[in-house]
Amino acid sequence: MRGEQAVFHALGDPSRRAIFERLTAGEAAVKELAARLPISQPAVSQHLAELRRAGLVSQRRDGRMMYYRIAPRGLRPLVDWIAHYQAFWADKLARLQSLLEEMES
Amino acid sequence: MSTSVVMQLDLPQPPEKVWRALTDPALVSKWLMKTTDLKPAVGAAFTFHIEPSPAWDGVVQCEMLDLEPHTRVRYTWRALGVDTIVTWTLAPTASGGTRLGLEHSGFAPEHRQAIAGAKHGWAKKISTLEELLASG
Repeated sequence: MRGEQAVFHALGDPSRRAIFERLTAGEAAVKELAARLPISQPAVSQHLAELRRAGLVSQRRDGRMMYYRIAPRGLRPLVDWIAHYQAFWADKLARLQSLLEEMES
Repeated sequence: MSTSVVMQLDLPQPPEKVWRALTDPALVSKWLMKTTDLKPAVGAAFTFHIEPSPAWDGVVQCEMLDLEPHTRVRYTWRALGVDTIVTWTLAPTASGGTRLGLEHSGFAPEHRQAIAGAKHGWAKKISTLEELLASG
């Protein structure tokens, strides 16, 4: 899966988006995340695994506890995708405007 | 900044005319990309083409998802194996023109409502992350 597709897939799920959003506030353990969200701990763990596969989240072990945090570079494919299409559509919309001016009613 | 590309444009032409420029393959080919099989029918598959380059085969595969004449058209946009959604909205303006909206999003349509609700907060978060990216 290309980087941007993996990011779209990972963030396309509302629960994963909620977990990711919570992690933007700082590092957290599965237990803390599950306590704040209407999903079970195993479900949170699965979502975290998906977010890690997409490169959006990294983990750190501290004794028996595992902590999760945002991996900011993981969003790079999304930022690049947006920049690419912003330029693409700005150019196309300018061409659309010219075409509309040339079109007969 | 948001998680999708969103643009808006006020045009002097009426929605009927803008609609034709968005859905008639001969007209679309003039400003967007070449297409011969674009059909205004939900479920129809079609493609856009440009000259291939070393980085890209120049093909966008699409499927019409949603269509409301003079008001809205939405299709999938698959380029380089990445599935995204393009949505055009047309609304008449007081002066007889069209307010044209474009949203190009990477999220599937069934999540759109959740996105709409999350968007405001997200714009801020993403800009924070952008700062992180820039600094790291």
